[in-house]
Amino acid sequence: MSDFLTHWTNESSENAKLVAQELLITEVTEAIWEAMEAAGITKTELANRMGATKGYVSQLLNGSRNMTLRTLSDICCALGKKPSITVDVERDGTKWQTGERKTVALGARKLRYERTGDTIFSSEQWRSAA
Amino acid sequence: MVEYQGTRLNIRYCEQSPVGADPTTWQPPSWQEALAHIPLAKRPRITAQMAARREHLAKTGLLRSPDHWNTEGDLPNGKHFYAIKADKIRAYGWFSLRDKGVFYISHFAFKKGQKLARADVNRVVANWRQIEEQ
Repeated sequence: MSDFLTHWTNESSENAKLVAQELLITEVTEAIWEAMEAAGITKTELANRMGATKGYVSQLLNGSRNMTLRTLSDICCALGKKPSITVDVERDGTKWQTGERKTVALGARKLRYERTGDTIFSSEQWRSAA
Repeated sequence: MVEYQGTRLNIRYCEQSPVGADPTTWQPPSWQEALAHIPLAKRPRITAQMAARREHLAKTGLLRSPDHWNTEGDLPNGKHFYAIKADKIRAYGWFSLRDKGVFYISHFAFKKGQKLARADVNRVVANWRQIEEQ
């Protein structure tokens, strides 16, 4: 049994597209909140770790500011987590089929070091928290 | 019966379609009233947000973000009722103890201010009594 919201979604491709967008935003932000809760991190702490303002993080998490993949990667780095994205592959153009899917891992950037004598220095500048 | 079935929860509406109406297309009157407060251009986006959030709730059994979900007032049994949030529209409801795995949506409302309206609390409690104390 479905409801009027399902009916509205299926009424037009435009509606279905909007729901798909909002579902992705909901799923991503819920996953971030889950990671924040598990780590005991607040929005303020997350903003500090990202070198951003709390307002900016709020906008990302409430969906009013579009989140780029780079921003998602930065959030995950700040949380010490590795994002995992899957895209179901549509095969015959009309129906979704179970089967192949591709996993794309977005890891943290590798650090580069320089050695001078007995001392090792990081050769990259880290952003400091605001 | 007007109900959305998910893998973890079924979302059931206290407002039910009249006899003879198609329950899959019938819209609860409180939804229509709440949506009428929203500018025409924003209605599709907010409808999509509500559809997405109730789908996620039905699939996972919970919503964590305070932008999607809020703990609202108290029920007569000491438990809380909650709100699914989409912009200024709220879907007030509770996790049923009588019907396991069901989240009842009491009604939808357009939230004007910060404070939870007394009329909304009364409506949720009346619906809760009708369903849980039967």
